[in-house]
Amino acid sequence: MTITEHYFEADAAIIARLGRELVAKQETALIELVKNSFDADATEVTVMFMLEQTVPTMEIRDNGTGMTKHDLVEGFLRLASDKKVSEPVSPKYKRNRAGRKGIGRFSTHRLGDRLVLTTRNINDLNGWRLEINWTNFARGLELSDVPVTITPIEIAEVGTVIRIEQLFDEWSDATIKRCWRNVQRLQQPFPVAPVKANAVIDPGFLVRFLREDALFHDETTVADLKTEILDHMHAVVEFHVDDDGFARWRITKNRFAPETEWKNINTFFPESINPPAYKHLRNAWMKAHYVILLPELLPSFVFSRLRDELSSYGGIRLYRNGFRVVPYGDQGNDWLGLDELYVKRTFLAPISNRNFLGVVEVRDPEGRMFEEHTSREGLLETTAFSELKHITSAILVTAAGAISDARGKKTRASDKKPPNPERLEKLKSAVGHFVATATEFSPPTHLPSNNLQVVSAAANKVIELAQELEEEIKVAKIHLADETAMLRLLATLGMTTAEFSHETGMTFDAFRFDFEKVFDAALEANKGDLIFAQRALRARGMLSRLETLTAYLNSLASSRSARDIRAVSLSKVVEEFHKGISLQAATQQISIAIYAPDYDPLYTAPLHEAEVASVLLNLYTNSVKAMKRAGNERKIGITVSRSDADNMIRLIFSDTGDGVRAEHRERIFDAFFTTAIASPGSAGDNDHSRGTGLGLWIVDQIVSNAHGEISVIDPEAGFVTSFELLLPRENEDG
Amino acid sequence: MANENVWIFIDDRKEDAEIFAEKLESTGLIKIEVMSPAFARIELLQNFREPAGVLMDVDLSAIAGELGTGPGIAQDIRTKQKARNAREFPIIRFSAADPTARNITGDPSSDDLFELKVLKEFVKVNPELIASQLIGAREVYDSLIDISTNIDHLGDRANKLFGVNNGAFPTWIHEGLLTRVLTGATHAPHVAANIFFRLFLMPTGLLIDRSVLSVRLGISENESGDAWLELLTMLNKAKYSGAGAASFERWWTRGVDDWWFDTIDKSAPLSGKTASERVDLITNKTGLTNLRAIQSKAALSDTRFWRHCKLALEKMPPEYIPVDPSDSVRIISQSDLSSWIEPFSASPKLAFQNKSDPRLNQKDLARLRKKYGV
Repeated sequence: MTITEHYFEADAAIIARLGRELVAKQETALIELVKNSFDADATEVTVMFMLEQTVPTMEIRDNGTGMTKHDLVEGFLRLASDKKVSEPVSPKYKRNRAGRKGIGRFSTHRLGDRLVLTTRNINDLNGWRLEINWTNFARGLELSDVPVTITPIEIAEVGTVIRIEQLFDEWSDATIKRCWRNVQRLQQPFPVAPVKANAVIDPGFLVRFLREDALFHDETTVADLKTEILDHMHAVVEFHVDDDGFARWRITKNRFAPETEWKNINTFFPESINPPAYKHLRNAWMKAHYVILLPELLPSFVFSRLRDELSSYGGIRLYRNGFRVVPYGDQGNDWLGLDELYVKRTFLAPISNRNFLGVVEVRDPEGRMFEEHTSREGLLETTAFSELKHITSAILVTAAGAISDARGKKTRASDKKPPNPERLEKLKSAVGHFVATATEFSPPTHLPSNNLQVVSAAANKVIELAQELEEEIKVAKIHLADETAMLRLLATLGMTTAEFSHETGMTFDAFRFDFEKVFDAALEANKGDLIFAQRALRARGMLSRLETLTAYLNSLASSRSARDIRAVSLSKVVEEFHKGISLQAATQQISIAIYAPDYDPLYTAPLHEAEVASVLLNLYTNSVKAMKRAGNERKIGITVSRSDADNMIRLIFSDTGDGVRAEHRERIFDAFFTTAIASPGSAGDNDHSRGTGLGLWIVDQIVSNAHGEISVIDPEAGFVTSFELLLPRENEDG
Repeated sequence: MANENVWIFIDDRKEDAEIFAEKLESTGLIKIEVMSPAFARIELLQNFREPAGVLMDVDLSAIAGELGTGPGIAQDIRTKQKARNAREFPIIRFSAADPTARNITGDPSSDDLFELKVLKEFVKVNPELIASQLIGAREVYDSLIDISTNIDHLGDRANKLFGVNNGAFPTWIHEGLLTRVLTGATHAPHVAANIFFRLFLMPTGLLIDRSVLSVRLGISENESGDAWLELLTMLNKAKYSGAGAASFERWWTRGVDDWWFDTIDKSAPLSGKTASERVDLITNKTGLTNLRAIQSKAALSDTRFWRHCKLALEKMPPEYIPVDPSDSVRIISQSDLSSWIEPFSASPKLAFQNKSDPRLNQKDLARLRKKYGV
């Protein structure tokens, strides 16, 4: 028996098998080609559809490194060769290759019958054109018998153009958009880290899809991230953590306020003036575009598109070393707790994933800070990753609050005028004039032309005034909607507190008794343990302070003080506040002194007693934060007196905090205005109720509604900050 | 004598109630059994139990399907007791401040159902005092049950009940009170007991407690130390020794007056002197040089102190602010006070701060506002 050797032979039809069957969907094929451009270190890719031509054609143009003839012959034309396996990182930007191994060339076949690839390598003076007619690869022919041609050509630009003719598929706008979206999800949608910082740093990868208009020979952008989305968003929020772990952040392109300068930050030390470095996090950047999805704030044709895009595509995506880390930022993934915060509605500024389109980029080439799960789905919960989540979420929440504050300020500024009775009177007068004019020249069918002009002018005036009023009503509605939402939340909180205050009080008492027994038993069991004894003493002290505070808050929430409107004795409220809060204050080393007349009860005009207490609590909370920032001796002084000159009752609340900057003196009473950094989205409700910039707004609302005034005044002797609150004195004559 | 030395605590929140009960039991003075309202109705109205007394919560709505209230159950018990269909025992209102204010305050219609009214919040302040007063309440009941079942030697029994000897009896006690208690006892022990507590033992009137005694004598308890305790021993003759005396530390008002005239100053009554004048006189006569007078916090205040500001006593925890009746605002009681009971007053400052309190006498208020220029 003779042993014979045989060899695999390839039928030319294998090309069709690989091309048409390996890649099932046209979008996938196109995306693979875009990935190839990325792998070739391109920073821009344009996908052009020329579908109106006699021969429907598509071009993928990139400014990547291009290919040499060797690349074409040994790489493109040699099946199963895979440079991406041997060189997993791109030469220029060290990108991890994105394309699936060896699938690109077949993708061109999946899309059309003919391929013309022109390319010029970065190191070559000339380029090459590769032409393949896939229809030549007919069944029965040997693969090696079907020629393809490579022609030297002159090309001005470095890069590659893949032209696919005789497209097989229908490319509707919807299909193109779908492709575009998939590409966006794959790559960083815009550069985040500064490009010039290092020549090797990847400047990003911009993909544009164009559709050639056959009639006008004009290229119309079908879907472009910048023009469709980013240009319409209301602000850009950025942060940067440097190589030493120091972070800074800013808001730019804020539609409602001037840009902010870079400010140092450490979100774990929200009150710190000189925040320390992060312990583990290094080399991280974020750029997030923010939008408030309200029809009145966006052009009508943009609103629905933006809303739809962001509802599926919004969020903050994470890129590590230039590549997307899934699932962070995928639809339904709430890694920063933004949707959670939105659902709870404890933070009132618009914040959810659909309000953002952003990128967090971390550079960690050696994998010191971040480590991916073996499934390549997500990162391990390292300390650096926890810090990254904290800073990202806290900054987004803070920024959303600041932007809402700025928006509120704007609406409020124009809201000073409405409701404008004068304008309404003008409208009535204009309507009256119009009616009179029209009547005078009746019957209208016989109006001479000059009379017609008079009537028309009168009508126009009416329309003009009506439109102005309509605009004012719109602005007022926005303002009112914001306030209503806030008040609804606050009312809910108040009602819940009141409802359960009694339960809390009694349960607290009952708990206290059990607690004491447990402690007595524990002390007995730990006789001679001085440290334990100290702890027990400390715990008892804390319980006692908690009890006093709870009792005070419960009394505020009791139905009587919450519902009755009547003249309020300011001296009484201040004394009760002092009694309720001084133990808690002592734990923060804060001394509170009150100065009230011996007998004068200092009655204000009727209001809720609990509201005055709320004013004091908010001022107190504000002061505590300011004093912690300042590092001075912590003192609060509350003086109540009569201001006979203007028939008011005066309360001066002073502290030794870090003061209020002159430019903030008026703004601190605006909703959402805060100088503090917010807690991350997933933090508890209590955290979000602090430092959101609502405290002093509430104070201002209460005081304003009582026809009083509150302002920051020159500090009283021995203090740094003094708030003066003037409330109308009770008019006993009714 | 009750056949069980156990108090029954009727409450709708079993867990919380058990903790309160344990706290009171931890004094070692009493035993308490927590019972749901439904079960307590069966046990008490059908005479299955004869407790030392009952602690009654007011609002029982935490139990699904429970439509009744503490005062409602108390009324059922009282009616049965009156008809001799239930055993006699004291009923103590024992509820938290908030539901009490919601359900009871301002409406005196359930006042005479309870011998004592205790706020749950007070348990953390002084559980021993509460437990002791429960024992005192039981003791009073035992005395009155004895009187109501045996009217022989009624005079002696009455003297023993009130703890007065024959000589002092006519001047220290009020005949109207005596009549009402003894008449009540002929109907049912709880009728007499209720009068005894509400009109005699608890209010400032014929009796005063230690804090009022210090105010009357113008002495600051905290600053006088042992001298104050020594002085109290000198007042033993005026000390109440009737039913419940071990639990309710009281002095006869008239007894104190007698002591003042006999020992300190024959010429002028106690009430006519300022606090410092009283202390000076007492010091001179007793040699207790460490006694200190109560000082007023405000310069303009009058210091012929006689009672405490009621508005301050109503705070939780209570505050003790002495007031001079001529420098205070009278408080109108929701129910008519017997003539021997001391009226209530508010200090000028608290009256000014709470001027919308409808109980305040507006004429007094206006007078003092004029005086203090506010």
